[in-house]
Amino acid sequence: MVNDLGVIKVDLVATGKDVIKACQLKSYDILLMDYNLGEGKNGQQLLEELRTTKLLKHVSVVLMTTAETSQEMVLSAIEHKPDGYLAKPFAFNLLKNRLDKTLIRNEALYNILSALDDENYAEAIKNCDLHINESGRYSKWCLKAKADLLYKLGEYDVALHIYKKQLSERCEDWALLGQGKAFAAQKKYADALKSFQQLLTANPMFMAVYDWIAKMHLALNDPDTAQKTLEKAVAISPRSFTRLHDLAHLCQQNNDLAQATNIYRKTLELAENSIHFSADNNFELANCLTQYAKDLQGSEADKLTREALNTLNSLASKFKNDILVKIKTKLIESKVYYTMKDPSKAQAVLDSALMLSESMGEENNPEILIELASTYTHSNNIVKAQEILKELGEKHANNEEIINKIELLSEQPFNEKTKLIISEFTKNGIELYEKGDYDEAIKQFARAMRQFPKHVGLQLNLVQALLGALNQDPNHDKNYQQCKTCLNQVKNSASLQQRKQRYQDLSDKFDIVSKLRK
Amino acid sequence: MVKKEDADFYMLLASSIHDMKNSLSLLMHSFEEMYADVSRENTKEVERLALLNYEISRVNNDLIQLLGIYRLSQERLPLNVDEHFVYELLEELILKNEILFNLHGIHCNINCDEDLTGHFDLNLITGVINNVLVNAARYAKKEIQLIATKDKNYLCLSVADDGNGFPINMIADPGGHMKNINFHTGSTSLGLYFADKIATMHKEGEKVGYMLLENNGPLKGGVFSIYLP
Repeated sequence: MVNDLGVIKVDLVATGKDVIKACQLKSYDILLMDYNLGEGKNGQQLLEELRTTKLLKHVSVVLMTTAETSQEMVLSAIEHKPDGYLAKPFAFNLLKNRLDKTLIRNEALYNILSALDDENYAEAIKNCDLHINESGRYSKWCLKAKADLLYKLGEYDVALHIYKKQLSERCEDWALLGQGKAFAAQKKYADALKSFQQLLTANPMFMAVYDWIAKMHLALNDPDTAQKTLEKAVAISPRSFTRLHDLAHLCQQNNDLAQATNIYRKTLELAENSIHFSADNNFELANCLTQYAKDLQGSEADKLTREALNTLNSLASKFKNDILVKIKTKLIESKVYYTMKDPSKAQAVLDSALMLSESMGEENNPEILIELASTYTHSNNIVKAQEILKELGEKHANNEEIINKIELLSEQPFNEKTKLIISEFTKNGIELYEKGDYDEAIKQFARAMRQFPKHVGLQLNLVQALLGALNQDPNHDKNYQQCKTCLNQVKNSASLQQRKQRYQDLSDKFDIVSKLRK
Repeated sequence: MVKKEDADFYMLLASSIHDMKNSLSLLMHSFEEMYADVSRENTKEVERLALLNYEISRVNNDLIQLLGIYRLSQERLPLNVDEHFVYELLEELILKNEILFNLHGIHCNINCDEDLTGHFDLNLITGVINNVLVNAARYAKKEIQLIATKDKNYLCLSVADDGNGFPINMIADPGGHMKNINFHTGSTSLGLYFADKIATMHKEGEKVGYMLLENNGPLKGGVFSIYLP
C-alpha cells in the first residue's frame, strides 16, 4: 500500500525488536506502526524507547494504527506521542491524507522539533512561544509542548502557571495531569493528590492516575489508602504485571499477607510465558507464603508451607543450569522447613546451599549473601544475619541497589546518605513528639521504618511515640499491636545489648499501659 | 468491583473485536486493490465492489457500537477528550466514504472554518458521524453537507441531506432505541442510541452534549446534529 504513496524506499519489519534494529541502521523519515505489537512493549513504549535512545528524530513523522485509543495514549508526554493515530480499518486515501497533513504540520513546527532533536529545550520553548505569539494553527500543541518541557527542565512554577491558566479557562485533562505531576515534583503531595483525584473522577479508566494517586498516598504516609487505590486499579485492569507487582510489595509492607500472597500468585501466573518470566516471581511468592505461615497455626499454615515448597520445586525443571537459582531455592526452602518446625531439615538444606555456593565460587555473591541473611533472620539467627549484612554493607557502601536491599534487613545504616535520611526523620519525629503531636510523630517514624524496617533506633523511637498516644488512649488496638510487635523485634535484635536500658524502660511503660486496657 | 466473569467476557469481547478489525483491515486493503484494477466503464463490477465497501463499513460501525455499548453498560467506556481540528475530521469522514458516495452519485461537501477546533473524543465522534453518514448516503438524493459551527461554547456537527427526512417518531425520541427496532427493515436505530449516549457523555462544567434530528434542513431533507460543549 505504501508503495503507491510515492515513497521511494520502504522497509517492513514484524516485531518491536526489529523496529529498533532497523532504526539503528537507517534514519527514517516516516514510521508507520501498530499500537498493538503483541508480546512485550506496545507501540507507545516502543516509540518512547526510540526517542530516548535518539534512534528516531522528532522531525520524522510517526503514525500509529490502532484498534482503539486509550487515555494513556491521549495524555502521554508530547515527546513520546506519535504525530497521529489511524483507527483501523483505514482506507489508502485516508492514510495519504493524514500523511500530507502531518508533513505540513511538522514543517510548520520544524524549528521546535529540530530543537528537540538537539535536546536544546530552551530553544524549543522559545520557538513554541514564537508560534503561540503569532497565533499559529498549532498553538495549542505548542502550549502543551512548552509545559511538558518546562516540567522536564524542573521549572515547575512556570509549568504550573500554564496549567493553572488553562484550568481557569477550561478544565482539560492534560493540564490536570500536568498540574498534579508538577505539584508532586514540588513535594506538594496534598495538592497533587487533589489534581489526580479530579482527573480520575472525570476519567475512571485512566489507569496511570491510580498509580500516581497511590504514590501520593504513600508520600503522605497513608499506605493503607495507597493499597486500596491500587486494588481498585487492579480490579479494572487485572493484567498489568508491573502494577500487580507493586501492589503485592505494598501489601507485604502493610503486613496484609493474605492479600500479598494472593497477588503474588497472580503475578506468577501472569509472568508465565511473558517477558516478566523470572525465578524471582517464584521466590517472592515462596517468601511471602512462608512469612504468612509463620503467623498461622495448624492446617492453614501447613497448606501455605506446602504451596511454598511446590512453588520452589517448580523452578528445578525450568532453570536446570542456573546455579544462583539453585542456591536461592535452597535458602528459601530452609526458611520453609524452619516455619514447618523442622529445624534439622532446615539446617540440612541450609548446609547444602552453603556447600553448593562455596563449591561454585558464589559464596561472596551479594545476591546470595542477602538471601542468606534473610534466611538467618527468619530463623531468629539475628546475630549471624547482621554480621553478614554489616560486612556486605561496608564492602558495597556505594552500590545503591545492594544497599537498598540490605536496608530492608539491617539494624543499622551503612552509608552517609542513609544516615542523613534517618537522622532527618528522627529529628522531625522527636520535634512532633515533644509538641505532644503523637499521631504525627508515629507517622513520621512509621514512614522511616518502611524504608528501614529493622533499624533498632527507629523502632525504639516509634515505640516511644506509640506509648505517648497509648497513654492518652490505651484501648487503641492498632497502636497497641504495633507497639507490641516493635518491642518484640527489638528484643530479638542483635544490637539489644547497646540499647538494653532504653528497651527496658519502654518495655516497663508498655506493661503499665497494658494493664490500663479494657 | 468488576466480577471476574465480567472481566473475562470483556477481555474476550475486546480481543475478538480487535482481531476482527485486523481482518477488516486486510479485507479493506484487498478491496482497494480490486477496486483499483477494475475499469470504471465496467459499471456492474464497480457497483458490486461498492456494495462490498458499504458492507465493510457497516460491519466496522457495528463493531464499534457493539463494543461501545457493552462498555457503556459496564460503565467502563473511557472518554478521551482532546482538542481537534474539526475540518480535518470532516475531511477524513468524506474520504472514508468516497467510494460509497461515488456509487450513489452523491456529492458531499464541507461547510466549516478550517481553523475551527472542538473538544471531543475523536474516535467515538468519528464513529457516530460515520454511521450517520453511511445512513445518509442511503437516503440522500444527490447531496450531503457536513456543517460545523461553534455557538455559545457548543460545537455543532451536522449531517444534512436532500432526502425525504426522518420519520416523525424518530424525531420525537431519537435516543429511544428499543422502540425503533424493526427486524424486517433491519433498522435497529442502534446508531442513534449510541450517538445519544456518546453526546451526553461529553460534559464541560454544567453543560452537557446532546443530539437533535430535524427535517426541512438546509438541503430540504433530514439533518442530524450533535452538540458538544
